[in-house]
Amino acid sequence: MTTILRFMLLSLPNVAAYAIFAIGIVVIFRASKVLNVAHGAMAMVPAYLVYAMSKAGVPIAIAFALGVASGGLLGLAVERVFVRPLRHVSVTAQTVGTVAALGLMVALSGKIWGTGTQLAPSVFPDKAMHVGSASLRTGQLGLFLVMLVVAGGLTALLQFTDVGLAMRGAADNRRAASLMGVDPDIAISGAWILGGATAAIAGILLAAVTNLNPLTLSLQAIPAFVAALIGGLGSLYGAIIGAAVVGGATGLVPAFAVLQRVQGMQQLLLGFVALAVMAMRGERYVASDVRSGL
Amino acid sequence: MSEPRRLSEPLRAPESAPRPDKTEHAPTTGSAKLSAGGRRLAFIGLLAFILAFPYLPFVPFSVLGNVNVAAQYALVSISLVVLVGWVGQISLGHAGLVGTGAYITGLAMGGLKVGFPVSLLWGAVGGMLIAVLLGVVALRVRGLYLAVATLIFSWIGQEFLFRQAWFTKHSSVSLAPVGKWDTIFYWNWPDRKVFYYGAWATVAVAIYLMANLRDSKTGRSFFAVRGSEVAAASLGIDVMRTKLVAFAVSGFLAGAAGTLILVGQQTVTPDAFTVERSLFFLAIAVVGGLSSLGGSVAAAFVFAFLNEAFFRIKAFEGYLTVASAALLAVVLLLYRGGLAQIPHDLAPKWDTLRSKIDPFLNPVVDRFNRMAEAIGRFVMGHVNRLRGRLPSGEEPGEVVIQSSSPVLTLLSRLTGGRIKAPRAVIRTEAPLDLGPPKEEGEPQVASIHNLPVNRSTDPDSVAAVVPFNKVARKSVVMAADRDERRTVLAADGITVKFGGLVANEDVSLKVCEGEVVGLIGPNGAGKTTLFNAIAGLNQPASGSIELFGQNVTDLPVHQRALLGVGRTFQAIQLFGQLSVFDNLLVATHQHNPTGMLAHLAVTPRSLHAEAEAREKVHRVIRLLDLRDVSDRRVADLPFGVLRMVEVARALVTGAKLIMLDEPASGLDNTETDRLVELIRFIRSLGVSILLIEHDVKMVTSVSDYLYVLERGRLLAEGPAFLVARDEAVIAAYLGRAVHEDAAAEAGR
Amino acid sequence: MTSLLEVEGIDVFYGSVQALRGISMRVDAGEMVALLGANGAGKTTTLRTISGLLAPRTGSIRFDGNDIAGVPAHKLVRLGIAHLPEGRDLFPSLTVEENLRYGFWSRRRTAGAEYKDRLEGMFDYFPRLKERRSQAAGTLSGGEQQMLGVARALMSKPRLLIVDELSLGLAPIIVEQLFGILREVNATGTAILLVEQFVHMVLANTNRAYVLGKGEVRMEKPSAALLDDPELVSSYLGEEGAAAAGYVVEPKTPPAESNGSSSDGFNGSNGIGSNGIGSNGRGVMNGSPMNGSMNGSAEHPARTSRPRRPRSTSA
Repeated sequence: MTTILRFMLLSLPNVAAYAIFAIGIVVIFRASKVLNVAHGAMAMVPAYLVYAMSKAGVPIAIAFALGVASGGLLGLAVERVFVRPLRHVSVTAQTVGTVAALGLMVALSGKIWGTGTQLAPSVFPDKAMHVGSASLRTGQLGLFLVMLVVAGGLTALLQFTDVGLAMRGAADNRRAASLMGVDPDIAISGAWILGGATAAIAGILLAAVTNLNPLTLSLQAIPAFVAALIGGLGSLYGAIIGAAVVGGATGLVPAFAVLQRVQGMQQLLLGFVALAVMAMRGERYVASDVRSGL
Repeated sequence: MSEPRRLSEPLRAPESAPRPDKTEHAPTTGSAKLSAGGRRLAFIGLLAFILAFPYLPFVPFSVLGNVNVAAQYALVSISLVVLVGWVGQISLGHAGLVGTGAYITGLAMGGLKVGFPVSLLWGAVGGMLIAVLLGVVALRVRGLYLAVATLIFSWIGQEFLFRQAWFTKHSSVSLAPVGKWDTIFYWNWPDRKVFYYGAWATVAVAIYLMANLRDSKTGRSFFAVRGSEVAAASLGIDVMRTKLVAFAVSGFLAGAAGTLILVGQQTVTPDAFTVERSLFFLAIAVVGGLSSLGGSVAAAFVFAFLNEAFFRIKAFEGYLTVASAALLAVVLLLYRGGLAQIPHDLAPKWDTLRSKIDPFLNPVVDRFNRMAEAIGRFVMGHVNRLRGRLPSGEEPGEVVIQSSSPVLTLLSRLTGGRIKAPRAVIRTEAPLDLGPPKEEGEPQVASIHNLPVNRSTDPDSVAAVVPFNKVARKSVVMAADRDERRTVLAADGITVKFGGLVANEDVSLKVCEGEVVGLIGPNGAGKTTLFNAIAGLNQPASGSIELFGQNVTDLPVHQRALLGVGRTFQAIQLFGQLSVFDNLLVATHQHNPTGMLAHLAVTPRSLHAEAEAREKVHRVIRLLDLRDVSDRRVADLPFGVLRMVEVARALVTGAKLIMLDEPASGLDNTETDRLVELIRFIRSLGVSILLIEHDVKMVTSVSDYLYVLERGRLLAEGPAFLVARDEAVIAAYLGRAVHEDAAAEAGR
Repeated sequence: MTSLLEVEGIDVFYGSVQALRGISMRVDAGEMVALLGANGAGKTTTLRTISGLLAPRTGSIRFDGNDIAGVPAHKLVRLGIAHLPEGRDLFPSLTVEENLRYGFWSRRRTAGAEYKDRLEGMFDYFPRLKERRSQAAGTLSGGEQQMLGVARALMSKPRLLIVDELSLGLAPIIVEQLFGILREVNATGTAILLVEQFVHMVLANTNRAYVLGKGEVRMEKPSAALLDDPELVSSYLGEEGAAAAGYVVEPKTPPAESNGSSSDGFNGSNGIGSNGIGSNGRGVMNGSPMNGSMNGSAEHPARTSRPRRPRSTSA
């Protein structure tokens, strides 16, 4: 039992990272109805920037702040360049646009910083902590705490501020928002900036406790897609719950030695969960095609 | 009635819109063109070049290697074109399918000692099975969820499947040469030159098969599903099955590509099949133009040679992935037609260039033509002498339909007919004018791709044309009491709810044979909801629906369509990228008994069915006077014309009940009059009609019987002209001061 | 005196389809103007063009002297135009209060202090909304949603309120209530332009009316004059319907029999959901003579069957 608990504890940083990613994905999806395949890359590039800055001697706190800002800018850039111009084509085309953005970001990062794996600077002072028989690095615990802050902050922003209200409404009903005086395009851009900034936070902190690699770090977002899907792509709370499920599931796998022997079992399990959730929730084409109102 | 009634005035396409046919880009008259013989010679020359390529002296070894890689890319790209381009289902996970094919091939070759060309089948079938599995799961969800599902699939492949030792046991294959040494059938696969033939033959076969598919009923069902799933279902197309078939075909090709990769490189690692590669493959397809087979090949070459270029030029080293990603971005954002669009865009420029260099080019072309004729005469003379006879024609009144595949036609000619291109002979009712015979001594042959239309302008010459709908054209005897007539549609007690909102409450309606029934009511009354319930697009909470005596309450949309129901939509749901003719051709889907395999192989039976389908469409086009617009792309036509086309499409299905959803909306007065004429004409064919309409004047003039809905309930029903006068109905439309009402109520 | 809103000769297209042809109209400050016409005539398109959701290809629109044609909607709110589109168009996942706050968006910088007052004012108009202030808008009933729509539009204290099909799917009692509130609002100086398919309700409440047909303005008259104008009715129902309608639909001095039969026909007056259609719904062809004789016999006018117990005392 304690083993399981231990592994669940160790999976907390995963849960945290996935939760932050998932929140960002959901915010972007609700605003533009586009699935941001490039979300992981929007986490990876700022992580590399922080790495480069800290190598250049910039204090870690400032580097972190700049990194987060760069994430926001990246989100805005992806939306303006790859998503918005394709709006008149289809949502699918916009999604392919994010694929193009992903490819470009991964390729450029690989070129600039090499495709090998680097060690990222840690934002929190690197120490080991002991909880029971498990040991956690401060970075991992820090990630979890930051996740709580991010989730709380974002929720507060969206629920209690006027700006958040404007964004939520614009996501609900574009036309009504514009009739109330809110420019829906600005609201959408805002969602992408938030998505990018949160992705950057997660990316920087996650890289600190795993490592830096253009492709693998970008792909860390895939479990987050699953988490967002499980949560229904509709609400922040759903995203967090989905992340908990995903993180828990993947954290549990190492606990069972028999599963551990099979390489990639975590991912397989996750994939099954995702496909099962989608299959259960999916709508048959017929009913969803024509929404006949009165 | 002895003759079909004609509409009063023919449709004319607006003068100002340009016709996008080839004559626009014809070079100026001074340009010499290649004759038929010239074209043949040029084609033979190109074929010879392709066949001799590996052994040409100036081809460096590495170039040949890249050409082989291009073959692999081309095959993957084609598999994506089928799924993403033609059916519109986005796949971010094709590397998973390709990798599966590769590793299964490895298992077959290493474990079961299967040799090269045969192992293609293993890879292909493996890819197909996995693709179908993926489809069954992923197609339960739509749009973006599908994209995520395929992404996850690729990820599972990369992290799990391609790391399992039992699966990747034979990731290296030692290719044994096949066949007997010293005979022509000795294929030394490890030799790059020999592999070239294997790889490109595979690609050629794939392109041939897919081209056949594209021009067939199966291909049209793909485009229909992509254009509008709802419309496709209303024409009897099983949308889910079509998507699964597309997944299967795509998986088949992707698996075969995996085989080529394994055999070409002789060893593979999981790195070759990552999520990143999935996106890379998608990039190739997008750059090629996503819907074009030829574009795929071109893009494959581009990417294969990017490889080469970036390898050789030191300054660009390491920028390969960047360049690929940049290429994808540029094409997606700036030039979405991809490489396939380039010939279109360059054509006018070529014409102007051509006219400038004509004085130099013309004599060259003429000389080439003469040489081709001479060679042709020489060759055919010998061939004929060998065969001792000339090819025979067939009797007048018959038309021979022959596959126009250039390869088969060429082979058939070269062997003097010993290898035959598939042909079918059909008799046509009205003599078809095929134009002048192609060349002397050749039989009158119509290609499936240019079946001519009867261009006679004398309306009487189509007297022999039987209206497409086979129901007897004598009027159905109207029983005095409506209850005695045969019922075509009976909806009983329909209640439809959306969440807490009751859109229809206990509505019953009936359409009898040969009737025109109107469904009217103010905005928000629930008319379209009822329509959709009858068509199968929403699920009533209670009530039953009977079509032609059969209970269809639980049947999906396409199965109701198969019973003989056609419909139009309030927001026009035509297939925008197809021409009018092709839109109507999709509607013949349910009457075409041939299946996908017949289409792939272009069997005579499939050609026959295709010819019949095209003839049906021609008839409807003649009946409705859509000749002027039949070649035009739907997206370019004005709204009034599109309404007619949608109605024509329902007619082509042979439906005995046609449901029209606000057909007059958006039409001006002339167009509305024409629509009324059309409805009366359709009724004269024995087809029943149910229509929703707001234009009370119009619907009263054309309907026999009316049902009036108000706020979800049936307010009144009865013969049209009476209902239109009924004060309750009028009140419902105009509304009235409630307090007067309430006062009257209180006073009762 | 220039009008508050002046529309001149606008042409509006949806793609290649022309929806409006040279529409001209005006609304003066404090007026209540109706926009009528059959479906597809272009009423909703006109409203959308005025509020900035659509841009006209030609023509001009002036609001309070400012040229607003083609200005996007989110900028027009600040000038004082509020548009309540058909079908409510709320934010379904936001609460009632949040929806109202959203309506105040354009004022929050300039008049933030007023928010509380306006909110209370709306709750006074619509006590039902106050009861449900923390409920998500998507869970409200149709009538409540429409109330919320009106309230939300009024939060920005508009000078011109545009209302599209207020009555859609609502019981007449509720519609009457809403109209009453609109009258009050109009009395405080807000001009109102409304589209409504229930002609008589709106003619009784407005000063002037325009009648549109096939994208053009067919008529413009004071509302009272239009009340039993046969031309108006024929534009909805065609000539045949107009003939009958001209006789029947007389709200001020209804002939005795038609009063009985017509209130008979207006099933909504019994309140929501209480009328008897459901019970004996199927085509009650109670021996009416119409089946045999298609010409309608003289003294007993062949009636269309109405799926309800007949109550009229018609001759």
